[in-house]
Amino acid sequence: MNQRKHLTLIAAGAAFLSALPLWNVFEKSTWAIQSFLVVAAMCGVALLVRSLRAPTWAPTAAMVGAGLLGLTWLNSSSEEYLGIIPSPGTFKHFGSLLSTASTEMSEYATPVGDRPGFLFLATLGVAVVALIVDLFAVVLRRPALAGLPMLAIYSVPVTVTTESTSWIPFALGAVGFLWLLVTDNVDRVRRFGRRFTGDGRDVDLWEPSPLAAAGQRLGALGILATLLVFLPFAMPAGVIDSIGAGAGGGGGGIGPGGKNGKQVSMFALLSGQLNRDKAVDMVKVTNVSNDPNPYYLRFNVLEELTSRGFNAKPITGGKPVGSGLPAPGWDPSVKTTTQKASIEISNELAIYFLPIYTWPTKLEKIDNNWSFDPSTTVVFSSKQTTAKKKYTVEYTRAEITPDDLRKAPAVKDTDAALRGMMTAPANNVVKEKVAELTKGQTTQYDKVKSIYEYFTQANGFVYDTSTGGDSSGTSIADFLKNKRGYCAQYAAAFGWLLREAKIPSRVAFGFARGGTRQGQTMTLTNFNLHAWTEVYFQGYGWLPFDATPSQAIGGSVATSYLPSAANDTIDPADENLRNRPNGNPSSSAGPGAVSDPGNNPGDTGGVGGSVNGASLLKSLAVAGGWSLGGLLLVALLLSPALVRGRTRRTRLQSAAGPGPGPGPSLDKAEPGVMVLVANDQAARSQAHHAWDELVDTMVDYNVPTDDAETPRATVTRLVTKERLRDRAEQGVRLLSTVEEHARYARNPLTGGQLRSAVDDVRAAFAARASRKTRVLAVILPPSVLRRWRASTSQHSSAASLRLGQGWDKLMRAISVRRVVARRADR
Amino acid sequence: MTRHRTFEELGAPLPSPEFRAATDAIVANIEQVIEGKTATVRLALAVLLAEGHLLIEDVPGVGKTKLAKALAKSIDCSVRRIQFTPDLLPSDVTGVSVYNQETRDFEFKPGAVFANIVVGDEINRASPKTQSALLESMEERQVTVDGATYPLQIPFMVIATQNPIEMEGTYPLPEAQRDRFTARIAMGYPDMGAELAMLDVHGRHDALDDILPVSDATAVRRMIATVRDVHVADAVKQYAVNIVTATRESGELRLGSSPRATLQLLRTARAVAALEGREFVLPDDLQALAVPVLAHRVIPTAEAQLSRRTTDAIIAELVHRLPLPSDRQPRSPYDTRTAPPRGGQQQQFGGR
Ligand SMILES: Nc1ncnc2c1ncn2[C@@H]1O[C@H](COP(=O)(O)OP(=O)(O)O)[C@@H](O)[C@H]1O
Ligand SMILES: [Mg+2]
Repeated sequence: MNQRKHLTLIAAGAAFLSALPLWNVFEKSTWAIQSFLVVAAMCGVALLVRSLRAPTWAPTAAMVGAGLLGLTWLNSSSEEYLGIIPSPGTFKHFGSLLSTASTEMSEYATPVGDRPGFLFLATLGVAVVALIVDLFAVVLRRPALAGLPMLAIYSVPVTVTTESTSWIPFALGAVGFLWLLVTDNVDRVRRFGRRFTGDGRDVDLWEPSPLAAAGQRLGALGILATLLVFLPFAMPAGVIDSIGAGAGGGGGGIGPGGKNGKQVSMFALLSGQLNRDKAVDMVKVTNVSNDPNPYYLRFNVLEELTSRGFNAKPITGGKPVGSGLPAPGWDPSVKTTTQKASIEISNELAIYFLPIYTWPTKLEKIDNNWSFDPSTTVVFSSKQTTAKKKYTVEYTRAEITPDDLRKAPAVKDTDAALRGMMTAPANNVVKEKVAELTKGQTTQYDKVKSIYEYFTQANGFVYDTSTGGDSSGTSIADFLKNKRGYCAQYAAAFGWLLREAKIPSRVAFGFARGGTRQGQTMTLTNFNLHAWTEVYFQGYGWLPFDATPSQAIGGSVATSYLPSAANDTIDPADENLRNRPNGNPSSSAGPGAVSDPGNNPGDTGGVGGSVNGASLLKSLAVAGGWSLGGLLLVALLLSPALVRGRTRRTRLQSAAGPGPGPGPSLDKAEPGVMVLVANDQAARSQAHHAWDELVDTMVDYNVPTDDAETPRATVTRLVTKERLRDRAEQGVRLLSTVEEHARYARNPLTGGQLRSAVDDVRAAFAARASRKTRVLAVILPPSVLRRWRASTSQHSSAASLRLGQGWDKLMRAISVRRVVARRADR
Repeated sequence: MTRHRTFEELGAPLPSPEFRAATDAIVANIEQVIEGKTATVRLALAVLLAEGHLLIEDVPGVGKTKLAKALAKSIDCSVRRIQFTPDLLPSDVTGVSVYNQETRDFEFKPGAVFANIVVGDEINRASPKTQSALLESMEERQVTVDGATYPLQIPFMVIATQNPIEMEGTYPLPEAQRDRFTARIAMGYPDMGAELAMLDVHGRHDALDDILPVSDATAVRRMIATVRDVHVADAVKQYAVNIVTATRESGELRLGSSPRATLQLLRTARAVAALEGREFVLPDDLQALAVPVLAHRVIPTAEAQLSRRTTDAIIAELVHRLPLPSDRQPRSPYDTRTAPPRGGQQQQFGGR
């Protein structure tokens, strides 16, 4: 029972530790306090129930109950019975908290504030992990499996945050898992009592045995899992971000079933990347065919609109790119040209969607891991990312005039897919606005144009990338009210309004033009990431419309069908703007900004230099932090070796003694004769040190040790079984004789060459050991690890023992059982 | 004949070389008669020096009687041999008071135990009454007849032999009685070479007739004094206690060893150490002696008996597992054996 209680405590502790990386997600630590309270309550109840000899399911049920009560107490809805017992109203409240959390997830950049939805989600997550860890580790005794839920919550911050984060919580989380593994391994062995080797010899607690081997495998697995999660954090910040982006982008709904919820990350990716401190090169595009005016490079599109915004629909169609791309079905009257570009992606962009120009006709140098979906014109892969890909794309460019579009027939709503993209969720603000804007417009094109022109600065719209974490929220209705936002919000709001007007629309993601140019090659950075809207015209298909003010972003491109947009024309000089190491590409340099300088906080012309300086300092600090962390890690890894080295030195120094003293010493005597000295404590401890060193050396080189074995028997074994010969044999005999005298004789021996004896034996062990053993003996000496593990486990069992004693005391004080027993007796 | 067994009486301890020479001479002497049984012979001598008694238990014809007689004959001291038979009387062992017509008084006629070395052959053939007369004098080293107490000599050693196979018409020693013997040894068959040598040497006549005493009672007393002087470190004492405690706590033993066993274990260990020329006892000595000194005193549980586990095997395994005590290393926290009782925790809810 005691072991279970001990494990209960450790499982709860480990689960909580594994959630610590959430620290990087939240601004404050309220979540930690709340989660701690809930986990503590669950753990306490589990301890209580486990000390009552209840059936096996009872502790788990009790933990569920305690967790529920804790959550109710922390998130009360004033509908509870007695203020704490959950009622149906409470669960409704929980549901609404969860749904706000999932809405807000798309709107808030990390670190987030103490939003009730997030807090509830985090606390619930930690509680569930604690429950599952307890189930696996304590009830089922499979602590390695307990690593899975721990890993899940552990990895949340990795996928959510795009900024480089503190690694300490991650390290603590890893420690939690290892703690659980180690303790369980020990407990598991303890359950069997003492262990014996095949020949009946009693083995030391930490000596390898079949059981320990299983434990070691589990431990290795745990460390591997930890490393997999931990590794990204041991790399420069850019890699982290691209991995984060990759994880985010990868979920655009590829494949059957779709990875739901990840589309959130499309927006998060965009806002995160646009708000980064520095520009990183992501794509290099070479305009092979001299396209005079290439449009945006596009990689993904969101087609589904719910009240929570645009989502990715799982892509179900698609053929491998090798089988050729279908030509766009243009109306024969449309004038088209074919262009070609070669594209090179850097290591910084690792997503599962290939940036291409729209209306591609041919993709080259890209293998069949990539598929083309004609309905979305997205090229995607479920196996590879774009990192380091190099390919060419042939695409058509069409000259479409506004008049062409005015003459386009109405969209046939017989196509179910299209029909789905012609309706918007009910929203009164949007409805009124659309009715107002499309009043009197007869053609689809004019309706589109009228709505498009609504998003201009003249109507009070301001480009602002910092709205990601705005307190008012940035759902589309809010955006229409506040009129502040960045490209993704423009694109989504425009799309929503179009759908309200029964016009098929969707939100596309890609790169605007810009970046540095060298001849026909253009380098695109994270600041060039962009979102825009696509509108479906019968006979023309999906045409891009970018509602974001062109002066707000550098590489905006006008289209032939919107020649004189209400937004200002492009100033080619702007194309460099987005390369600024600043998250806000809208700049006072743009013509539009002159009219509205106060609405562009952040970058104003001349401060560019100081911004650069500050960011250099910052990156230096980051680099310093990382190298410090790296040093710490190295120190941590080397510490067993260092500790072993130090123990060895002190022992051998002490074993060598203070040098030839005035008394008789063995050096002078003839070999084999030793001199007895009067009860000399120093001589005894010399011998002990030398012997301890010998035993530790045996442990280091995987020579079995046995604490039921006398020094004499050890020597016999070393000589017969381990085949020590010559100097090593003499050395080990000397050591044992001296140790025997030090332990059991009236007077210890002195003057033996203990130090060289230890060295000889060590050399003999090393000569026979495998390379792996030799390396481990130096780098991760088993003797040190064994001692550490033993003391960890000793301390944690002492703690749980104390806890148990306290508990028993409490029980005695309350004495429920006695009362019950007395009643039962009657 | 009346002696007081005081330490002074033993005489001064022998210096190490002399002790060595004397003991080696005795062993060599016995080995002229008993072929290839050095360890057994040394153990027998160790028991003598540890002031104990020896029980030789084995099948017939392996030299039990021979060993007892050879040991007795190697030392120039009083030796008595009792052949135990069912009709042997207690008074034959202890002695009897007879009325002396001349002095008109009762006069004590000492029995067989009034000797330095008493060889009790086939001890399990005698009636329990006679057996216990011998066993009492062994423990108390004195004989009480008709209210008068007569102390025995120093050294005083009983070497008893018994045959465990042929059980008909025997009275096997109860385990409680066996406790009086310091050690029980089995002779075991000689190995092939030894048996061949035996044929050569002892083929024609009894080698026992050839040997002469190489030591005497006084020398043996001084040897005993030497043995008493052997150093026993605290760790070794602790180890002895641990071993004995382990027999009491073993799941396979119904009856563990007595405190007398602890005492005799340590005494014999001293003697063995001295025989090896050491001035201190090693745990190795205790390990080597655990089976001969402890195995005949303990009683296995019914299950252990059913699974044909001999007490020798049980004790050997026990000792094999028991970690050495060390004042330098704290007890391992995972040591599940013999946890010190914690203040009545078990009884807390015991009243249910
Ligand atoms: N190891 C031995 N060395 C020399 N003689 C032996 C040995 N074992 C048995 N014998 C001989 O076997 C015979 C029987 O010995 P004895 O001591 O009478 O046997 P028991 O064990 O029945 O008392 C004796 O003559 C003895 O010399
Ligand atoms: Mg006989």
